[in-house]
Amino acid sequence: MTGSTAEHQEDNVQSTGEGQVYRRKYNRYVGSRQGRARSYGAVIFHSWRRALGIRRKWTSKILPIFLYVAAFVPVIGFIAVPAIIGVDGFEFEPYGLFSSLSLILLVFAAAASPEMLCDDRRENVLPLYYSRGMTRWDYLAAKLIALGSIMLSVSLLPALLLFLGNTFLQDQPFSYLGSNLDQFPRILATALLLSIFYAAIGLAVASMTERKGIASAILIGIFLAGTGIAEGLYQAIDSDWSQVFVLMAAGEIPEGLVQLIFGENVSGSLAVRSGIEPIWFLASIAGFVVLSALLLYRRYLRED
Amino acid sequence: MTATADSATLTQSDNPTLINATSLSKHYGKTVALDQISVELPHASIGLLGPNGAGKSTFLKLMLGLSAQTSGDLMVFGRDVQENPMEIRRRIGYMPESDCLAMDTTAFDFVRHMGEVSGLPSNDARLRAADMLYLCGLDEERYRMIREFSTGMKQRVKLAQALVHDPDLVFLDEPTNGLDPSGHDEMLTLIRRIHDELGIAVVLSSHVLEDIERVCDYVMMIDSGRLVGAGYLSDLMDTRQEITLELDGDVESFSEGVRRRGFEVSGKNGMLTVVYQDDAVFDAIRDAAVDSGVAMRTLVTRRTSLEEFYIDVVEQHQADQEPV
Repeated sequence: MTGSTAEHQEDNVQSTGEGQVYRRKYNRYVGSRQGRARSYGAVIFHSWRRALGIRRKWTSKILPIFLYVAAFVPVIGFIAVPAIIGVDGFEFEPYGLFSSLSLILLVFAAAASPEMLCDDRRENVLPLYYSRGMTRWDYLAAKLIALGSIMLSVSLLPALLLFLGNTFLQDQPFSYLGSNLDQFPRILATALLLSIFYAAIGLAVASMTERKGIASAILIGIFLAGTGIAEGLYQAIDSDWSQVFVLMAAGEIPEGLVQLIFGENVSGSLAVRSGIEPIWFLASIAGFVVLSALLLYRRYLRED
Repeated sequence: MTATADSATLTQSDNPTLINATSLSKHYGKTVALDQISVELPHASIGLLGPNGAGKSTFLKLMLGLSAQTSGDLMVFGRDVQENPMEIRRRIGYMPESDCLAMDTTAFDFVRHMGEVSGLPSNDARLRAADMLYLCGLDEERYRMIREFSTGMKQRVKLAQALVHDPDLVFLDEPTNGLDPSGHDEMLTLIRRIHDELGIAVVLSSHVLEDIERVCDYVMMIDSGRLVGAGYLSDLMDTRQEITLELDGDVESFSEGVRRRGFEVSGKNGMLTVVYQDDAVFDAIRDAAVDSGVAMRTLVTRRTSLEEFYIDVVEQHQADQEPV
């Protein structure tokens, strides 16, 4: 119990020896006020609860649980099956995992980002946040942190689990760890960049509408249909500059990023077939993030 | 003192200034929402009165720091709103006019969340949320989803969230909107208690004059973005008394006698109304009655309602605005 709570109760509680009578009345608050950090924490925690369906009806929990299962079960399989059947030295590379995680990240972003923003806009809750110790920047930053951390839990934790699993499946785990330690920052960087990428685009799309279903559909459309259109244009236009279309295809970014960070090609992807220098995918991520930030600025930060 | 021009000052020195606006203007493009408002508002229950579109909500937004003024200065708690918006907002509670509640949550969770956003630790926010919902008459229903609530219950949740962090000043924007007569009455009683018993200053924005008259000590009137009057209700009303007379005899001579002594008089058929300016009016009536030899059957002093006062002030302001 905090000190302030104790004071609060002391003022209201009368001890009768056998029990306590709690006198409910309005009291001036004498406890601590924790300022902006507390406001951030409250909005982040509230956003997590909404996105993950915590303390909400059971139908709200189905998709988050399914997506976490989809992210972790294959990894557990990659680790458990070789361990059970006794295959020594088995190794499933994390870069291959990111390719499949990108689809889960997309669905998670499509489901979670509208939960972050759409209800607050539709239900007109924003004036209540802004009239407290919170600026528009604070609100958006808290939402970005909330969504980004959820994305990070889907992108980073399975990859880390796989890395640890690979380590302990080896005959000489410490030797493997020593020689593959460079994998750790690569995993971290990839997971972090993908999380920022999906969270930024997800929030930008969610800021455009108050309808959660429409926001989800637009986000999935940008990734799937956008990628299809970009691929069509890239193949139809026989020119060097047509590679730009590949960089504009949001769905190809994860493949390009993995190629850049791990130096490995994920077979069949347009990002690889186009022969674009992988560093350009980093520029493409920056472009998408800046574009999303501009959209969020227009929707939230421009006063009046 | 009563201010019917563009400035107003306190009449009661025991209440320090809560809000101080100096030549405050707010323009949206070519539209002037607030025009050169200068006013000092005391720590009291303040009514912000004006027709729809008069600039009340704009004034509230400026005080909350949600919008920046085009020119002029605005101080709340003695601090500049533009320079210290966070510090001021932490001490303010706000109940917007429009719906602002998360429907897919319980009243308790919502109010607690708003307490946490205001910086209260979790345990304290939990206790305060329960207490505020109890205070606002939602003790039994606090674990029900807000979407199941009636309009009156939603208004109570809005009020509870405005009070959860124990503000020194609370802005209530049309708090009785959509309430049935009994809910309307209960809400006004609750608002009166907030100031009288809890010591929280209240700024009540409304176009319902009866609400302001019932709840507020001080009133600020806005029309078309301009301040048309401000002052303690008691002072404003005292200057707006009328004396109704029922006379027999030479009423014309009596009327002339009152006018000659410097007071306005109107009416006919023995029923006259004399405008009260000060107690000298009673001497004038007595002397005129003696001179004219009328028999005075009744003499009743009547206070004008806020509505009559408001209509007079706004009509006067609009007449002043019209080109000659």
